[in-house]
This record gives sequence, C-alpha cells and structure tokens, in this order.
Amino acid sequence: MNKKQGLGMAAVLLTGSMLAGCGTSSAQSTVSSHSGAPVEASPVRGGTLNVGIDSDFVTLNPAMSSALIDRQAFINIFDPLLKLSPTMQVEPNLVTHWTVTNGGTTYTLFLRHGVKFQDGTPFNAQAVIYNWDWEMNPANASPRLSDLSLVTHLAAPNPYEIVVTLKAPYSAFLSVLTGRTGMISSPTAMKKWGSAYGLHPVGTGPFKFVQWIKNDHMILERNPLYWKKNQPYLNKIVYTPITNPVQEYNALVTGQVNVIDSVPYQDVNSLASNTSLRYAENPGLGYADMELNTQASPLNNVHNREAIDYAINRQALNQLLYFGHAVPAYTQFSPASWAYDPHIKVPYSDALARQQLAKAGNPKGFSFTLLGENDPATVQEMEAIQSELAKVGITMHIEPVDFTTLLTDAINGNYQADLLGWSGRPDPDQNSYAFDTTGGSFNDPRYSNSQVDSLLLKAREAASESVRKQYYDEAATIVLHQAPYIFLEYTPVIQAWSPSVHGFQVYPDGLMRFSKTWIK
Amino acid sequence: MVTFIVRRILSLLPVAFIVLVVTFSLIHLTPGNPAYTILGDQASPQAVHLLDVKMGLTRPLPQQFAAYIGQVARGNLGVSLLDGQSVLSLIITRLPVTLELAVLAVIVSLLIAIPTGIFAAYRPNTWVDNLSRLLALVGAAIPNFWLALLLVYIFAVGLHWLPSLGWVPLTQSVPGNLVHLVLPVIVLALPLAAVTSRVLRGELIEVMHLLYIQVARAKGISEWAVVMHHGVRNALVPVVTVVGLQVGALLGGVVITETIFSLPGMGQLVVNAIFDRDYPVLDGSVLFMAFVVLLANLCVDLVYAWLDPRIRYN
Repeated sequence: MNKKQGLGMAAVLLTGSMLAGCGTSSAQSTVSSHSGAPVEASPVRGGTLNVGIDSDFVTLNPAMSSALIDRQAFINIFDPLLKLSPTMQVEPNLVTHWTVTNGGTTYTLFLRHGVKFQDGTPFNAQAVIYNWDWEMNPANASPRLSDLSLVTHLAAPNPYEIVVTLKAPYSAFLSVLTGRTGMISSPTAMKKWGSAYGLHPVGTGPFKFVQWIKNDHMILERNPLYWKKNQPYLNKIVYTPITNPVQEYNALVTGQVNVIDSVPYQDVNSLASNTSLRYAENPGLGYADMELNTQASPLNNVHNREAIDYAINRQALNQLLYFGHAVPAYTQFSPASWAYDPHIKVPYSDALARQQLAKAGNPKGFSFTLLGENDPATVQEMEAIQSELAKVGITMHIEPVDFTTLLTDAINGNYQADLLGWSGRPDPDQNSYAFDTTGGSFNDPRYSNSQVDSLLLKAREAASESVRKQYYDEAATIVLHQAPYIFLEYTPVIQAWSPSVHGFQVYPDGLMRFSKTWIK
Repeated sequence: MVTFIVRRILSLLPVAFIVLVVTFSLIHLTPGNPAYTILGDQASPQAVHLLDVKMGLTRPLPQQFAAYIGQVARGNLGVSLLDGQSVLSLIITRLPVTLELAVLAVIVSLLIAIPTGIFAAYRPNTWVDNLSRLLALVGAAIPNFWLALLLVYIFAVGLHWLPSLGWVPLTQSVPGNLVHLVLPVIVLALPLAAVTSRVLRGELIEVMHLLYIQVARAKGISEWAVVMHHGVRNALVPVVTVVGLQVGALLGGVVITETIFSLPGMGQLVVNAIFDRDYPVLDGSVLFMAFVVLLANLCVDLVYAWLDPRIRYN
C-alpha cells in the first residue's frame, strides 16, 4: 500500500499535468518556496484547520496500516517513540535517550516520564511491549511484523526502560521507531475495541481522535493531556479527502481548505507568483520506478533489462510528466537521503540500448507487457515510456489494472513488468534491503545477487554512516546495471497552504505535522 | 392495484438473487483480495493466508455464498472486511446524500426538459426548436466529469459563487446543503434533461396532430389548455418511461459526480469497496442500489395508471 500511495502521490500530481502545457523546470534538489514571512509572530491558540488530503484513510490503527495516507493522521494522533527532523535525522521524542550495546544487537530505550495516552492510560514500557507483542503475534497479521522480525526478546527492567534484543545488528532500528512501529496505542483502548480499534484510535499525540465519516471527513481535537504543555495551538483539525487533484487544489484556492498535501505539477509555477497562497517544494524520499520480473522471459535476460535502462530519457519524462519538478532517478536513495549519490547513473543512449539488445540476441528488439494502475496519470506515464522504448525496437504493451490487481500480480510474480513506486523511508536500509536481497519481502522482481545480499547485510550491520554509504554505493551500482528496477524519477514533496496558516513546515516524508501550527 | 404492487415487490426477490449471484461472482473472480489492501506491499503469502483465514475467505466460494445469502435472508448485510463497520449502517449514512442528489437531479432535469420540450414541439423547426435541439445535443454529448470540472472552474474558482466540493447535511444547514449541491445537481441533470426534452418534443408533436386535439380546438378550448391538458398529459407516458429507465444511468452518474465533488454518498462507497475488495460492502451496496432501480420502475408503472386512466393493474 505504501507503494500505492507513493505512486499515488506522483499520480495525483501527474493527473493535472495532462491538462496544461509544459512549465519551467525547477532546481533539482533544492528547496523552493515562498512560505511567507520568515519571522513568525507569536502563536495564537484556537481555531480549526481544514486539511485537504488526496485519498481517504484506510485504517486508523497503526499496527494494521500499510497506507501512506494513514500516516498523515497517525503523525498527529500518535507521537512516535523517536521523531524525524526536517532533514530526516532521528531525534529523541517519547524515547528521550538510548544506548546500543552488544555489537548493535541490544537497544536500551529510556522513556519520557509523565506522558499519558489520550484516554488517561499511562504511557510506559508495558504499553510499548504490549503493542509490540501484539504486532509480533503472527495470528494478528500485522504489517508491522517485518519491522520487528529481528527482535528476539523484549524486557522492561523498570516502567521507563525497554531492552530490545535483536538476532543481528540492525542499524535502521531507530529509524523504524520514527514510523508506525514507534507509534504506540493505548493498551486500554486496544483491549476495549478489539478488531474495531481502527475506528477508535488512542495515542499520545497532540491531537485526539473525535470522528471519522468515511469519504467525507475526519475530525481531531486538541489533546489536553499532551505532554508538551503549550502545544498544540489548534483546537481542531478537519481532514477532507479529495481524490481529484485538480479539485484538491481548487479547494485551497477557494478557501474551503487551509492546507493541501499535494499540488498538481502544472500548478506549481503559478503558485510561485500567487501571493495569496504559500507553498514549499522539497526533495522527497520516494520515487517512481518500473519493476522487471527477473524470473520471466524476456526480462530474465539482464541485457534486455539494461537496454530498457539506457533507452529511457528520464530528463524528457521529467519535463513531460512532472513539469521539471522531479529529479531523474537511478537508485533507491533520493536526494533527501544521506545515501544519495548523484554520480551513480547510466547515460540515456539509444546506441548503448541497441548494443545490449544485440548482446541479448534480440537486435531488432523484443516485446513485453507493463502493468500499471488504471488512472489517467499512470497510463500517460506508461505511454511515454512506451514511446521511448519503441525508438530502439522494444515493443511495450500497456495493461492498466486496478491497484489491488496490480499489487497481487506484483507480489505473486504474475507479471513481466509493472509500474509501481515507493514513498520512501528515512533510512537507506528501509529503501533497499527488502527490495534487493534474495527473498526480500518487497523484492517483486525476484532479483538475486549474492554480492548485493552481502553488501546490504554489511550496510545494515555497520554502525558508521560513512561505512554504510560505501556499501550502499557499491550495491546501488550493481542494482542499477542489473536493472531489476528501472528507477525513473525522484518525486518531490509539494504542499501548499493559505496565508492564515503559520508554523507549518514541509518535510521530505510528506507528513503534515500540526503540533506547532497555528491559524490567524 | 394492491395485488399488483405486492406481486411486483415479490418479483424483486428473484431479481435480487440474480444481482447477488452476479456481483458476488464477479468481485470474487477478480484478482486480489482484501488482505492485499490491508497488508499492502508487505503482504507475504503467509500473512495473506492468515488474514484470509481470519476473514473467512479460505472457504470454497459456494460455501461463502451460501453463508452470505443466509445472512442477507435474516436481514444482516454483514460488516466491512476492512474496518468492521456494519454494511447497513454504512449504507444508511450515505443514502441521504445520494438520494437527495438523485431526486434533485430528476426535478431539475424535468424543470428544464418539460418547458423546452413543449416549446420545441409547439414551434417545430423554428429557432426555439433548433436552440433546444442544440442544447440537448450539448447536454447529452458533454461527459459529466468534464462538465463538472468546467463548472467548478467558472463558478467556484473564477467567480467564487459556489463551493467547489464538499457536503453539508440538511440537518446542519439547509442553505449550506443546497449551495453545495448546485453544481453536482446541474452536472447530473443536464444529460437527463437533454434526453427527456427530445422525447417529450417528439411525442408531443405526434399527439398534437391527433384527432382529439383538433376536436378540443374546435370546441373552443384555449390553446394553453389544449397543449397542457390534452397534449402534454398524453405525451408524458413515454417521458415517464425514459425518466424511470434513466434512474439506473443516474446512479451510474452519481458514482463519478460524487467522486469529483467529494460527496460521501453511495457512489463513493461502491467505488472504494471495489478497489479495496471489500466484498460485503460491495454486495450489500449493489443489492441496495438494485432495489432502488426496481422500486423506481415500480413507481413508473404506477404513474402510468395515473397519467392514462385506460391503464389498469388487476
């Protein structure tokens, strides 16, 4: 589902691009914005913030969620154990400090004192362990299980200390705690509501859940028990799902909402000259890519895959589909990640593509079918790729399907190629290990390379960022040239808001954090 | 009449059964299942199987269908596989939105279609008729999603007269409710009005050439009364047929209109249930909508008798 939402975000932004001509390009990895006066006045308490989101929530239970859109609500209802800075650095939050011992296999987490869930239940080590035990129970089929798969033992020496023992060193563990696995629910509420807990979430975050009318709105209210005494400033947040991207933007223009989670690419340039709206454009963590099934003919031939890699003009796709706001992608690490390396790339070259086709024994090309979601934006993207490949003789058939079918076929290997995306995570391990290693849970292409397996394992177990970066560079270079994925574009996060909204900041993960936001 | 109504209502049962068989089969035969929606791309085969077992989806399809039919027969439409909400409560929450939208769309379409149809028939092949023909052509030809975006661009974004989307319940604010429905109702009403207007025109032209109209005129009845009482009333029978048939199309249009205008109605419920493979919600909603269409057609039959005293249901 994260893939869906990742691509969904791209799709949302792309849809509008069909309705207008090309715009100018923006700087690739720089931040663009005019977010109002740099000096904010004192926060004002009160008011309702109306927020437009590009789809409705699926569930409000972090233990059962796999949709990116759910995280927009979670980040305000549930305070994660650790938080991310605007530059995606892990910072203390409900875990105030931690130690890593025994060669990276033991994490001791020290919890903040005096924190309560919104229902008054105390937040402590027992609550965290209750949540994680629930998620690690296979019978509950929690999508969080894979995040905790290395955990062998959990202990609470005292109410504010948790000792987590892992099977093997896992350098991304702290980063995992900034996401849904680190979002702890009230055990009281979990027991009370059982399977209906997803309709009655209770966390420790700045806002508490009030009402969710599906496809209409969701209301959050200020949490009076929030541990940061002066926050949040807003009294209420109302989320409205608006699935049509043009309509979502219109809702901001007409003042029906104060903030939107994405802006159609073709409207970004006009936003820059619009003084009645504010916006910011940041490099995101996600990307759009094709997955090539390495176990199915003809893409089980590495030269056929490489030919595709060389034949796609990513700059042209960026201009055509993203109005120059994306960044051509060659690896799983976006410009927002410390693992990003702009030097790892392949040239756009028809000649090199033809060379690879000759090596594959298909000098005149070959044909295959690309599955993609049946929304106009994705179909447009597939058509653009189709015309790129046709230039070197590769015939690509397009098969639009609904997302569940796409996901089912991708996971079951019932495809030749598909167009998916990934919303991205802060730690490079979360964007590569499960995708590239043999038998990895996100490895839809069924790719297997012992060298990549070894490099990514070393990167996962190494403590130093610089050492990890070397491993990631090496692995990314191999993956790029073996092409189980054709990375297309890194998609930026572009969000806009009305001038009455203050204290709002755009993060590379696209999540809208409202604890410091106020309205005037 | 009562016997007729009872018989017609009883005849809904086999139709409902067929609707259920078709819906149930089609959605279950479509690749994917709710486990993939819930687990997303982290769906390992083991996790999918566990969730399937939990949701009762590992049983043979006929067994699942039999259980579902038994449940429906007891008046229980089941619960959503995704969040455990009762399907009936989901339908009841969304029904007022769709019902109001559809009823207003039919009323507005008739308010447009009847006068234009009458004028066009009364003055055939004049500029009035040509204009009405052109409007009907445009109304029938413009795709409703495009018309919706165009109207939003003009009246919401450009002129700031109307909201671009959203919904306010009638119980909360009547003006707020109506203001939010202006654009969606126009989008739904125009194509309906186009068809209705042309049918009325054609029928009325024929009726106005019948002998009893000439008799009425010979008796000195005013032209207004001739047209309205003798002409239009007799021309309305096929119009009512068309409106009745259009209820199904209207419900289809509602799906798109609700999505564009973010209206929390039945259309959005059905679309999301399809995408999420939420079988009970989809089956329950389609069954409910089928009943609405069948009841609309029953009403059409009853209106025939009111319009034409020669029609008797015994």
